[in-house]
Amino acid sequence: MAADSDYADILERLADSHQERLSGALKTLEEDVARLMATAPIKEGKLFDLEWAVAARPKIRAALESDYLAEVDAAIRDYTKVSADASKMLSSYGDFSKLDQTAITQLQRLSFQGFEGVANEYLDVMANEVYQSTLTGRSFDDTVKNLRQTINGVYIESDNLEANRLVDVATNGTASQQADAVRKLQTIYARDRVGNNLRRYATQMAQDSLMQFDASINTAIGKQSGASKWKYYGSTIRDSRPFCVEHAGQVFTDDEIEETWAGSWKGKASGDPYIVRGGYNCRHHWRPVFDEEPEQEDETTTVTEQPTKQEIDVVKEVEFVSINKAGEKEITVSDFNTALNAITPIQMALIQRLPKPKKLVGKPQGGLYQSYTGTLTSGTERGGSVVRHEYGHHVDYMLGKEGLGFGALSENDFEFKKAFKMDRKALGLHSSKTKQAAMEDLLDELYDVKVVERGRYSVTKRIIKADELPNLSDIVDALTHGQLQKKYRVWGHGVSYYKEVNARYKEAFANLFALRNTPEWEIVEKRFPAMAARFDEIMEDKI
Amino acid sequence: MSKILSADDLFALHLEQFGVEPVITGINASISGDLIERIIDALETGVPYTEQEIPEGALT
Repeated sequence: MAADSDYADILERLADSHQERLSGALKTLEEDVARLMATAPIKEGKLFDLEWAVAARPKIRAALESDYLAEVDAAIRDYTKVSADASKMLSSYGDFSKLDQTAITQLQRLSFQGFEGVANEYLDVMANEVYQSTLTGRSFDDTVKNLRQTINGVYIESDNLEANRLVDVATNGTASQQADAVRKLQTIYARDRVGNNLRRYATQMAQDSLMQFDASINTAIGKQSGASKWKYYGSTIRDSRPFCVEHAGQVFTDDEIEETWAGSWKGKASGDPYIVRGGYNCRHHWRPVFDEEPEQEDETTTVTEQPTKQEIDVVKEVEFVSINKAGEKEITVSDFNTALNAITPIQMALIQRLPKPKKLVGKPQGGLYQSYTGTLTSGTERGGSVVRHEYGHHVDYMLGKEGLGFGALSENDFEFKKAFKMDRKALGLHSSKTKQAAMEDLLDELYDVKVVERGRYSVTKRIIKADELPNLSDIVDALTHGQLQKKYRVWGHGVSYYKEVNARYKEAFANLFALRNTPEWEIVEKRFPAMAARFDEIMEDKI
Repeated sequence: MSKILSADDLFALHLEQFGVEPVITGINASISGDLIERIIDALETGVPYTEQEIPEGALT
């Protein structure tokens, strides 16, 4: 086997062993925290002693340090051997310089700090849980269960033998056995996966930290030695990313790496492509290559194809959090990028110029934009339409901030508000005499009527004709101040929401933003010509 | 075969069963096309349909 493949195997085995060791350490930590909690004063099954709750924090910290961080430290000491193995592997391909030991130690220190930062975050979570539960007189049992789940998610220990057996299966079984065990733990034993448990982060970090350390070592040695070509190598497994499958085994120049890694793909991590490689949990590596290198592997090829059309990484560098329950699809930043790449070039130029949201939250469905925190929450349902709608709100606010220093553009732009009122009047939605007929005419264009069966009920329902049309229906709802939704129970925000006058303009703007590059824009131009024209003027003026 | 109801019939059943109409704040606007299904679920599970309040200053 080639030296780089041997080396990749060593790294993978080491990553697996680190993950296993950290999982063990977290089981110990869970037991130690439970033991600490057993010393808490309780009255009628509830915590009550705030002084004890405050004093618990340093004890939790001590447990984190002795159980978890001590194991992290031991794992990171293994990295010294990784750097020696990397040098040995590279020496079989040519003469490479050695990396200074100080740099290696510094990289190890940085790796440890990453784990330490997560530990500190979870110290806060656990100490707050104890204090708040004491303050509010929460059940002792619930508090202990929450603390256990904060550490190990569904993998917590218990007195129930079957639950413990399922934990074993969830840890060691095949993928389908694991999924089945997790589902049973959640449904039968009320285990909450708690997407953000320490075990989940720690095991992923065990992998990423080692692979990034290796990447730093190899890249530094290669650059120090004057390399300008790099081989992307490593085994491809069932769940390898298509990006990695496509590029594994290929040799790239620095420029080609910059160009290829500028694209977007599912699971991509932000950062230096030499370090983050294919993204989170990636098991591929770079090694420097020189032209005179002896041909060791048949699979080494030079990239000659033109890069395929790549998505623009619109929300690069924005903090991204995914919230999903077990069994639900995890939304990734790549899903957001895909949704946002379906807008016009003018819209794209505008969003690339404007400040990005501060935080993106992906969830299976729903949408929310909080301008004061810059947080955009969205699902990717209906072909990403919700993402584009919520991003429309963000653009509206960024334009408002840019022009006036506050608020959204749509609520302050005289011409846009005038266009809104003109379309309302032209459609006949402004007058009680014409409103109903106007609404029903629009409904006919947007909806089919069908009978739906659910449970013991059969109900006539208006079914939207296309995925993008809910945005159009909601514009009508805004124009009718929520009456469309209330009267016909169709897509829209409703009367309670549209009591707020400015919400009507803001939602209309966001809906137009989502619709602009869709085939349904023709209906927008036909039904809301004034708003469509003003929207386009704004986009063109502001890029 | 059961009688085919209208959406308004469902809202009337909700009022009859729970003493209140479904509460729609707009927070579920992005899934409001499934409102009828969620009202049926409310009737069948015995839990009235009440949407969460929208956080102050937020848009959906």
